[in-house]
Amino acid sequence: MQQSKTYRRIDYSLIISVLLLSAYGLLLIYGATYNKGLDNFRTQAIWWTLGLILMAFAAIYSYSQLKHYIVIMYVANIILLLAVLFTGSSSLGAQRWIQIGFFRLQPSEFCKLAMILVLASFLSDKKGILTGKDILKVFGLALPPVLIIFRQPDLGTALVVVFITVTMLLIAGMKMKHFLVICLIGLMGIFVVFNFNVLKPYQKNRLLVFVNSDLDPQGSGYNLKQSKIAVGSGGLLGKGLLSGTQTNLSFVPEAHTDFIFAVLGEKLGFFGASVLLVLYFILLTRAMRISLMADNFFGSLTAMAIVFMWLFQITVNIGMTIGIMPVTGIPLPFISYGGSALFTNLISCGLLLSIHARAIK
Amino acid sequence: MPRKSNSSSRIKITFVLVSLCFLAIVSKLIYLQVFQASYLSRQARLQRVTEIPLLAKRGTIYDRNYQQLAVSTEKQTIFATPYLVKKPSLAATKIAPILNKSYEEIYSKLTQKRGFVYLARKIENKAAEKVKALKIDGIEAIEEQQRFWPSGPVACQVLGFVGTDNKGLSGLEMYYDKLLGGRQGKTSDERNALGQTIPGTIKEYLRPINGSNIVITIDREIQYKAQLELEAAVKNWGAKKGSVIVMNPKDGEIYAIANWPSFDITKYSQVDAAATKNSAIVDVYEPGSTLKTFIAATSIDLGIFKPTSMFNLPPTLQVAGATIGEAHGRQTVNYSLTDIIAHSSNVGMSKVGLAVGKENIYSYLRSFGYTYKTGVEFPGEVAGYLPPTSQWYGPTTATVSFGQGISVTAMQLIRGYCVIANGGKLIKPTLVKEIIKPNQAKKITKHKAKKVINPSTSWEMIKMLENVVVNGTGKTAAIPGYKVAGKTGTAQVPDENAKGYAKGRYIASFIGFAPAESASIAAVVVIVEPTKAIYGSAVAAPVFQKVVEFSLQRLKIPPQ
Repeated sequence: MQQSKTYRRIDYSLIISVLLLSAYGLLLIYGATYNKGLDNFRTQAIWWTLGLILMAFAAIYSYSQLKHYIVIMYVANIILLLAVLFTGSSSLGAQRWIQIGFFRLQPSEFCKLAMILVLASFLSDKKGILTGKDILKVFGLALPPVLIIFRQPDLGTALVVVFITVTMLLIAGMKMKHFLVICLIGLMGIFVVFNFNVLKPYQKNRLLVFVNSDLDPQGSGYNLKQSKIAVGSGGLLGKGLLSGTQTNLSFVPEAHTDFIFAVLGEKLGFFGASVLLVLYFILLTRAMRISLMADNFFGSLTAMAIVFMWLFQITVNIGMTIGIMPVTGIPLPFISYGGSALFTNLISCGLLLSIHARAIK
Repeated sequence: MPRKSNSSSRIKITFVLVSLCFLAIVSKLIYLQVFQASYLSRQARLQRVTEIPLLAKRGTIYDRNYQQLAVSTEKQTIFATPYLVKKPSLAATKIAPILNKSYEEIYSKLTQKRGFVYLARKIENKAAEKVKALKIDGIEAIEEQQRFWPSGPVACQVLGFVGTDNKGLSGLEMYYDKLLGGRQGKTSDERNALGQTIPGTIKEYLRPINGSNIVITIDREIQYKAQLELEAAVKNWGAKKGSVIVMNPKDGEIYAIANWPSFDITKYSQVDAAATKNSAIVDVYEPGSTLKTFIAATSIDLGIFKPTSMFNLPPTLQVAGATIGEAHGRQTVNYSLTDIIAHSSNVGMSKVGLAVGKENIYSYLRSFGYTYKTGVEFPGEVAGYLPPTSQWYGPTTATVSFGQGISVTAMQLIRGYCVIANGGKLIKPTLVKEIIKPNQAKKITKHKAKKVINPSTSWEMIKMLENVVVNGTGKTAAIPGYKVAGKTGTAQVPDENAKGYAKGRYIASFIGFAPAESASIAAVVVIVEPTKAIYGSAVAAPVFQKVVEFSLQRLKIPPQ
């Protein structure tokens, strides 16, 4: 009896959309890198398989139990992030990985999920009434990882964590006046960041180029210009998975990671991009539904935070590729090459499935 | 658990937020992939395809005796493939001084995101060899062409300019640009973002096709003589400008077209536009007395008068309220038609013209070719203007008869005289003898001449025009040993600012042919606004005499 009930509580739409999304990602990684050998494709396929197993574990596990391990999770998270700073291998001028065997662990990816759980745990105890002190505590929790990630430097992921923090505060019932104060501090922060050389010159350039893409077509604007050409030249139906000169001839930078949407746009066209957006839309709406159904506030908050994490990453990543957002190195969920990101996203799905399975209904 | 209603309203807000984000993405995607798709596809192609032009040799222009007038020589052009230049600043430092250019200019070219960029075109071989010796990746030399004129500044206005891109910009170079230019070839390959050629992607190889050679009818020596004599006359008589055409009245081949002011094509960067004009073909003027010949020919051809027909000519004649007088005042005389032509009498020609009638005058002048272009192979030819008879008012019939109220080009005018000279046929003047395509020779198809007047009329007119040179106004055109037929003209210049004619401004001309009864040479000399003398006999006829005498000798026409 109990068994069959659980089966009915499996969100098949979510599972199917996630399977399709991650398979789609594998296909695109193949298309982006096949002419340079199959290493990337094979590695990603392994992560995918492992990730699905992790997802299954997460789905079976009673998520509420996680509240007991919050402190360990937080501390481990900070230690891993610090480890990157001191021992991490660098790539493209940034230190983001720790080499563990043949796996390059990127703690900042896991950090996003860890912070969601930590903050959800803290906020769910507040029962929807947040004092100024509570808010300060939340920021006190969020600030250390944000600063460490920013220091790597990985502006994109730091922004994801900040975004998650603020949205979670809002969902948890932050008062409007507090929100306005946060906005004000944020604006002042941006002002300081821009005028006191907190940003690396390339980060500053990217923001300026976003405002005016003709500013520097050779340098910072180059990526944006090339990815726009790639997406636009794909037209309605694209040039075919194995065709497409922009990616195959290396005009698009970071084709299989941050700019993978340009690969999709060029090779599979508007049609292929629409398929991706539909899958994302199903995923996000299912996750929102799960948030409504959750049997406790911790689950509900976690689900909503995952929605906002994905929404932010999808919008910023695709947005930068097609020129409606500044260029920041944020991976496209389930699609970009990279094991840590894929694990994080698949485990997030597992959590959602776990929340769904235990929903009150 | 907080209030349920509250969390459901948050879901709604989130849903709206998600929708807005997706909407923004889809809108921009539609913009890029639908509206900008073709533009961006072109951009994608542009940045990966590198095209290198392959030279097609421009054809040579020869004179009628296969003397080279314009030929193309090869020069070196330095170009760069910017992607391949690894250290643009170092390369620019090395190359700029050799090419005589600034470091900034070369550097900016070397850093362009393009597959192909010119650094310096058509430079001396020595400099090119120096650049090549540097062996900088991405910087190469190709051959380009430069026009060169082995015969010096001969027939510059006829030949015309060639631009830097090997394109004819005026004259025959423009008229026959496609033939002379051939087809430039090209080879293109695809390169990746690092500038490396992608194996097996030579998309296009277009073999260059060399241009055809053109043999023109100009005789270099006659042309040169005409240029010299014209320049001397224009300067000597303080005139504004002038033109000379020398041609064969039987087949229409043009031996020379000279205009002053002229220019030296070998130094063409310092030329003013007026000097490049081929006035003989592109400018019109009022012919004046030289047109009288055709009115006389019309009257004979229609059987209205004979050369011996007598006319009583008062000093002046009233026609529809206008007074017609002579250039040189005289008493009442009795002139034959031959005398009228010999003395170039306006009163006499008015009487002839009125007797012939305006419809006949119009239709004959039309047959002589005065209302349309001659069709000579030259860009920008114009046709003179003869108003239709419906617009002729009172005295027009009389004034047209002595060459006023009609405009012609020198080319049209001499074509009419060729009709008289060759027994009555309207030939097409031509500048081209032969077009030699790279593989085969092609003769120019001969134009079929239309009959305008009877051979007998032609004969009578030749006699009358001979008389002009022997007894009349054209004595200064006489060439010892040859019979010369011709007619002087001293036309007034219409005032641009007022009705009527400008005071003291004349166009002196002489048109004729020799040997008179079997003409091999026809020539026209037009001197515009001479100041030291005004009459065709004084200003234009001597130029005719010198140029035609030279031409007869040059073409080995035996004296009679």
